[in-house]
Amino acid sequence: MIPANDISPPSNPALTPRAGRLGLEEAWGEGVTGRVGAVAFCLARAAEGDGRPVLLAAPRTWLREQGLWLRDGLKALGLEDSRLLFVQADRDAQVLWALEEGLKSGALAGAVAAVDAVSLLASRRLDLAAREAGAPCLLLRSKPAQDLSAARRRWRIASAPSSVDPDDARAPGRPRLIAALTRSRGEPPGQWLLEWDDEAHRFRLAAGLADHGLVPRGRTVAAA
Amino acid sequence: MERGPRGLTLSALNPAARRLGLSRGQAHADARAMVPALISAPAEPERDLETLRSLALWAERYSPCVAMEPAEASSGSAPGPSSGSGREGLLIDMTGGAHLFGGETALLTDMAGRLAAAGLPARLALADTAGAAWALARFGRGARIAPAGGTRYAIAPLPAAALRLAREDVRLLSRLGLRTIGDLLALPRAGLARRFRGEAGLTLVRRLDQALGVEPEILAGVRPAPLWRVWRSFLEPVIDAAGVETVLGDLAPSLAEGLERDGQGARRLALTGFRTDGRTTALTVALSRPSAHPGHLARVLKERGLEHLDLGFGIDALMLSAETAEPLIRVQGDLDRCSQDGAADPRLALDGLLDRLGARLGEGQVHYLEGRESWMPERAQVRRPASEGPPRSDRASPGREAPGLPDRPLMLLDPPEAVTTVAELPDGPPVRFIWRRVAHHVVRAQGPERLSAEWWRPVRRGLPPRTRDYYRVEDGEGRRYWLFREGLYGREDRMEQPPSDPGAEPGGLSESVARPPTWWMHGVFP
Repeated sequence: MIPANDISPPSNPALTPRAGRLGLEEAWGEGVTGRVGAVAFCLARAAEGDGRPVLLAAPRTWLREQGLWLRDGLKALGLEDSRLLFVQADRDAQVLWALEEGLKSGALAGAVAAVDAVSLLASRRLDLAAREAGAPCLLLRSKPAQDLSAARRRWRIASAPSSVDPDDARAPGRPRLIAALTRSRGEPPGQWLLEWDDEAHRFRLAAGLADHGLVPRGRTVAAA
Repeated sequence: MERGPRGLTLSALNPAARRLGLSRGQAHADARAMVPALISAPAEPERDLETLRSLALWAERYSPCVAMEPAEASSGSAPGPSSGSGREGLLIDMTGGAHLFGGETALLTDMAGRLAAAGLPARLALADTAGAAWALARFGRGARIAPAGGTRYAIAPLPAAALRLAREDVRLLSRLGLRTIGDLLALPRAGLARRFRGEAGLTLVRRLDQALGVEPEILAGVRPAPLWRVWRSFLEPVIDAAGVETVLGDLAPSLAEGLERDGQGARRLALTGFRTDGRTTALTVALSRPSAHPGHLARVLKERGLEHLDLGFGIDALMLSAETAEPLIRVQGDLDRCSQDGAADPRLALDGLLDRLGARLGEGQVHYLEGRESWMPERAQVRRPASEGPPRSDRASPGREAPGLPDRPLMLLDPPEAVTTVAELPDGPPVRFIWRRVAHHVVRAQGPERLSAEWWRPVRRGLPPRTRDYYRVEDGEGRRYWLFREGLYGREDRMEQPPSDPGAEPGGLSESVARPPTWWMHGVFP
């Protein structure tokens, strides 16, 4: 009696953030909406399965362009006020420093930061700190990064048409994202359509295009 | 020079001018007649005061209680000129502290040496009371140290002006033949108080009592003395941050020891360097939880950046003080994961992290978000500095997470950005809109969510706010936006404007100006 789209292969890298030690990952989003999608994707990965706070660090310039963090919107991701710790800094170097300190302290479930200039050395340090603390560290890049980096996975996030709202066919439904794994160590690249599950507060695989409008919300359907 | 009721007068002189026979309080015109080449500048009492204050902070190296001389008590009856001598002295409470500097004589020698090295001419004196020390510093000759209990003999030969009296009273006394303090001491008190008009007599007796220590005088320090402070002076001035760091490593344990003994933890730390040129330089940091752990105190100050101390030509003493302290609350550590710092406890680890981040990046840069009573999205949240601890999750939160809660974007554009739209109906969602020069075709839309303007807030500038109708829209490529239309058609699209002509009669007709509703982009959904 489990909805078919809740069953996912356990090895799917887009869904299993706690499998092993995640270490450092990078994500970038296409356009303003993709960037916000990448924020949601990273926050969900950083916070999953842990009750400790999540560090959200960004340089001031990025915030000026992207906007303010909105508490009510973050709450919809299942993150309470006391679990989100914001850091804003003047320079990328300070963001990296704050990330490393945060990961080393062992007080965080994970860390998400918007930085662009990350040297190979800095990324190695972050990866090491993240793996030792067992806390994922995700970097939000503003463009597809070509530089060398110690990041274990690189993601490209794009927004996708939302699911159909069963109550109102004209309204946007649950948010959906396309997460594409563009580079990884030891995994084949892939692309997944993810859908936000606002009851379990996590992303799940959306069941293809055929799913549109078939599953009424709140009711389970026996898989044929 | 300063401007007074009698025109320009001289308010302060340098030694060269004094040698030429000029005097304080002299009319500027007279002085120019005597010395045509006189160079003068307008008096700047505020800057003088500022300089004196910085010297007072420097003098805290000798005692935690340093007071600036109170502004001259002008006698009530005689409103004469403020006599030029504003606030120019410091009073240092050295009670029980002189032995730390090798005795009273050594103390004054040390002080004089340092001040001279900084190029500050000074007259120093030490006595049982502030009044007597004041008198000796200004009018004393020879030894300026009044031995304990010998105040009366020490100040007796000094002129009556040494009693901090108004100039008129001094003049009156000298007319009566009472030139020295000794003359006054010989007279019966009651008569002395009666003989003068107004309050002058009482002031005279009070000043006399203060000088002799019969009446206590309270010194108001330039700032409240920290209860916990440790300091160290060096033979050779320290000129770089590395040197400061070494000394800090020694100071932190002894401050922590003092705090620990009293069961207190520091909430605000100050590291003060005393520079050789008679100034001070200080760093302060706030801690998120009272701490008396020497390693943590030193680390937080280092993160604040010791290089931010302006060492000038070097500092010859360093003071570490706990400006604010709170009772130390001990937390039971985790036996499984105990370590020396107790850093294994996630709560302590978080506090340590917040202190370090706050010290390095600035206190306001590390924060939580907290809800506030307002339905305007940009006003419904407020930053809470991380040092104040995490916000309590409000009781209303389960209710707000109910399925009925309208969706909010993850990030909010601040301020909202204008968009051009095409809508099917005047008060419906847009069909097409252009934002940041890109056209979007709306496929799905939900709304409106109507938020009326908070009319009780005063309008600071610009036009009064109007009702907002928010729409969640999605375009053909799955991008989701949060748009709103400001203003309602038919109700808020005209604006009453007061007559633009200020000369018009008050009952005149006000003009109605068209103010069509406008569309704005306020946020982006994931």
